[in-house]
Amino acid sequence: MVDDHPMILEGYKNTLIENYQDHPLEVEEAANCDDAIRLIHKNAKTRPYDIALIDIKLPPSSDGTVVSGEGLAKLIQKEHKGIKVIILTMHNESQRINNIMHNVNPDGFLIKSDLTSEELLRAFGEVLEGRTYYSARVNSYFRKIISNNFTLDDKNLQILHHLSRGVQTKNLGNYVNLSLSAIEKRKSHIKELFDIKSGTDEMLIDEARKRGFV
Amino acid sequence: MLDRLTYSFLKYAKQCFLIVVLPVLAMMSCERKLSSADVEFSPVRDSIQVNFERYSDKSRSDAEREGSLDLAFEYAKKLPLDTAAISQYSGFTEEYRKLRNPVKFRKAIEHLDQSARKIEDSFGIGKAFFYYGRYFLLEGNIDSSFVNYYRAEQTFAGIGDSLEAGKSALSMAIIQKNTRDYAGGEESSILAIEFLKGAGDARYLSSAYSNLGIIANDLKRYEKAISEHQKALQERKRLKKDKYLVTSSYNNLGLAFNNAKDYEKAIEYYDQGLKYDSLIEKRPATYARLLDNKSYSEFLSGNYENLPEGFYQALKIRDSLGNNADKSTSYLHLSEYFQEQDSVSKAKEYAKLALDNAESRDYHRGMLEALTLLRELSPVEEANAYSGQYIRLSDSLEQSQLRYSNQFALVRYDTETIKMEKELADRRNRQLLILLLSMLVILLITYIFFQQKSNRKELQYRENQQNANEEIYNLMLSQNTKFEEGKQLEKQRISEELHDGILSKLFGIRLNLDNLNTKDDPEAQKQRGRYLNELKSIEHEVRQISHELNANELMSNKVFLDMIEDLLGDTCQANNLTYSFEFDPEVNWERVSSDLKINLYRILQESLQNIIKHARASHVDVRLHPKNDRLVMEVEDNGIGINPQKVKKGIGLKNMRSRSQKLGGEFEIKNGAKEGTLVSFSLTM
Repeated sequence: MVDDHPMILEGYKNTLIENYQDHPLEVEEAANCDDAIRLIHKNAKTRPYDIALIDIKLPPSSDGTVVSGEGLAKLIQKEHKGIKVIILTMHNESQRINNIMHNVNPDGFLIKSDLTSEELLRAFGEVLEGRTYYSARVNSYFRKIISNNFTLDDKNLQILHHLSRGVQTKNLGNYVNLSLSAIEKRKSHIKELFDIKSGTDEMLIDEARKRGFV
Repeated sequence: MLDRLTYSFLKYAKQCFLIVVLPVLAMMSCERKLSSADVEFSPVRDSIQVNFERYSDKSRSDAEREGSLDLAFEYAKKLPLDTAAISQYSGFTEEYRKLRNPVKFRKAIEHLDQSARKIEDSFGIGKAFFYYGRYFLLEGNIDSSFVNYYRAEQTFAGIGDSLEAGKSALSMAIIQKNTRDYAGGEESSILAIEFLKGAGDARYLSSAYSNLGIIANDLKRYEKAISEHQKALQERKRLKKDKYLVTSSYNNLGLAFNNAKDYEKAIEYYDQGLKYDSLIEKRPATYARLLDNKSYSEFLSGNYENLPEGFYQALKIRDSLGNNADKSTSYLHLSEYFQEQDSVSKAKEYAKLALDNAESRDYHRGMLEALTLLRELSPVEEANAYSGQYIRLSDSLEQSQLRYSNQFALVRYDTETIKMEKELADRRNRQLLILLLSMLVILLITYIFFQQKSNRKELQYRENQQNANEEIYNLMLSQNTKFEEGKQLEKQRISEELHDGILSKLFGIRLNLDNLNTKDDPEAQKQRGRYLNELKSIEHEVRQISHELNANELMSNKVFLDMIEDLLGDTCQANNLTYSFEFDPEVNWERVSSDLKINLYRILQESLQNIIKHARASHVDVRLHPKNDRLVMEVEDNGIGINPQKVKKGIGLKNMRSRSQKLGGEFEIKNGAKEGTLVSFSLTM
C-alpha cells in the first residue's frame, strides 16, 4: 500500500489484518513513488504482489517519470500485469473520477471521504477474487454520466470544475489552457447541452452538479 | 512694379483731379464768385475785353495795337488765379509771339510759367515750356529750345494732352531734322505721329509725316520720302483750315520724285501745286518755290523749253518778298543751268550770289552747294580755296551735327538717366520692402516654429504623463494580478494543506477508530487514546491554518493604504511637512477598482505637488472615507491659500479636474477652515 500519510497506512493495515487473520496478509508499505517502485521491482520476480492500494496523491519519483498514483498504477498495469490495482483518492470531483477511470481503469476505485473500514474490506475482498469494486459515488457518477446522452470533453469538464470552485470566468485562462473567447464558446455550448441557454454561471454549475459532471 | 503703378495712378489721379476737379472747383468757385467776384472783377474783365478788341483792330497802327495788348495784359494779370486766367495768359503769350517781340514774348512766358506753377496747372506749365522752346529757337539757342520742347512734351504726356505733346515732339523733330540729327529726328517724328494720331489731329500730323519725308529725302531714301509725303498730302487734303499746306506737300513730292530722277512725275506734282487756287497771291513764296523746282526738274530732264524764264520768274517773285526769301536756291539753279550752257562767268556769278545769300541766312546746305559749284567753275588756285572752305564748313557742320545729335540724345538720355535712377531707387525700395517682408515672414515662421515646439513639448509632456499613468496602472494591475496570483497560490496552498494534511489525517484517524469501534479491550482503549491525541494535534494545525487565512485577508486591504501612506510619508518628509492620514477601515479595498485606486494615488500625488510648489504650508491632512455610495478624499494644507481666479489655469489643476471627471466624480477647491486650501474629490466607487 502506497500513501504518504502514515496514519492512513495504519488504518488500512489495521482494518485488513484484523479481518484476514485466517489468511495472513503480507503487507508492505511505501510512502512515495520511489519506494513503491523499488519494492515492486524487488519483489517482481520472487514474490510479486497480488494487490496494490495506491493513493492518487503521492510525492513524485526522483527521476520525475512517475508523478502520482496514476502514473504508478499505469506502470504496474504495463509492467506487472498480475498485480491488481485499487486506487484511493480524496478527490470526489467527477472530473477527477473521469480522468482516473480513463487513464487507469483500476480494478478498484475508492473515495476516501466516503470510505468506511467496512467498505474497504468489501472492496478488498472483491478485487482479491478477481472482480471490480467502485465506491458508491463513483457508481452514481457513472449513472449520471450515462443518463446524459452526451459527454463532455476534458476541457469542458475542467472549465466546469474550476467554475464550481469559484474561479471567475475571466481567470479561467490561468487554469485551462484556452483563450477567453474559446472558454466562453465552450460555456455557451455546455449551457446549450444542459438546456439552459440563457442561464447564469450559477445555474450552469447547479445543472452540472445535477448531471454529475461536477 | 507696385511703385510704378502707384506712381502712375497717383499721377493719373492728380491729372484727373487737376483736369476734372480743379476746373470744376474753379468753375464752381467762379460761379459762386460770379455773384460776388463777377461783380468784383467785372470791371477788370471789361477792361481786358475792350483793350483786346482794340488790339485786334487791324486798322490801327502796330504801335497802338501793341499798346492795347499790353494794357489788356496788365488788366489780365489782376484776375484771380485759376485755370481760366492761365489759358488767358497763354493766349497773350501767343499774341506776343506773333508780334515778334522777343522781350515781351519772354516776359509773357515768364508770367505764364509763374502763374501756372502757383496753382500747379500742368497745362499752363507745359505751355510755358512750349513757348520757351519757341523763344529759344527764335534766339538761335537750339539746345535750350530742344530741352524746353522736351519738357513740354513730357508735361503734356503726363496730363494726357496728346495734341500738345505731339506738337512738342514735332517741334523737336523739326529741330533735329534741321541739325541733321536724322536718327533723332525720325524718333521724335514717330513719337509725334503717335501722339497726334491719338489726338485725332490732321494738321500737325501731316507736318510730322512731312518731316519724316524730308529726312528720308536727305538720307536719299526717295521711295520712303515719297510715301511719307503722300501720307502728309492725304492728311492735308482733309484740312478745313490751312488748306494751302497741300501745296507744300506737292512741292515735297516734286522734290522727292526729282531726286528719284522721275522728272515727269515731279513736274506733274509741281503743276498740281502751281494750279492751286490763287496760290500766287496767297502764298507767293510757295508759288515761287514750286515754279523754281519745276523749272529745275525740266532742266534736269533736258527740257529747256521754259528755261531760263521759269527760273527768272521765280527769282522775281522771291525778290519781291524781301531778304529772307530763299533766293539762293534760285541762284544755285541758275548757276547750274548756265554751267550746263557753258556760260562759266554767268554760272560763277550766280554761284557767288548763291553763296552770299546762303551765308547771310546761315543756309549751310546752300553754302556747300555754292562752294561745290564755285570749285568746279574756278581755276585750280581758286578752286582749292573753295575746296578748303567747303571742307571746313562741311567739317564744322558735321561736328555741330554730331554735337547736336549727342546733345539731343543726352536730353532724352539725361531724363532717361533720371528715370532710370528713379527706377533704380524704386527697385531698391522694393527690394528693401521685400527684404523687410521676408524678414517679417521669417520672424513669423520662427515664432510659429517655436510655438509649435512648445506645443509639441506640452503634448509630449502630456503624453509622457499619460504613459506614466498607464505604466503605473499596468504596474498596479500586474501587482494586483501578482497579488491575485499570490492570493490564489496561497489559497491553493491552504487548500492543499487542508486537504492533504488535515483531511488525510482525519481520514486515517477515522478509519482506525472505525476499525476499533467494535473492540473493547484495553489495547483498543490505548489505541483510541493515541488517536485522540492525533485529533488534538490536528486541531492545532487547523487553528494555525485559520490564523494564516485571517492574516491573508488583511493583507489585501493593507496594500493600497500602505501605498498611500508611503507616498504621503515620503513626500512630506522630503519637503519638511508634517502630515496626518485618516481613513475608514471599513472600506474593502479589494472591491474597489484598480482604476479608481490608481487615480486616487495620482490625484494625491498631484495635490501634494501643488501644495509643495505653491502653498508654502507646513502641514497636510489627508482624509479618505466613504460617503453614501461615493469615496471622498480630502487634502487640506495650512498654507497661503489659493486665488480662486487662478484655479482655472494651472495644468496640474486641469489634470485633477479631468481625472475626477473621468471617474464620474466631482472636484472642489476652496479655502480651508482656518487658512490654507482644501481640495476635495468625490468619486463613485
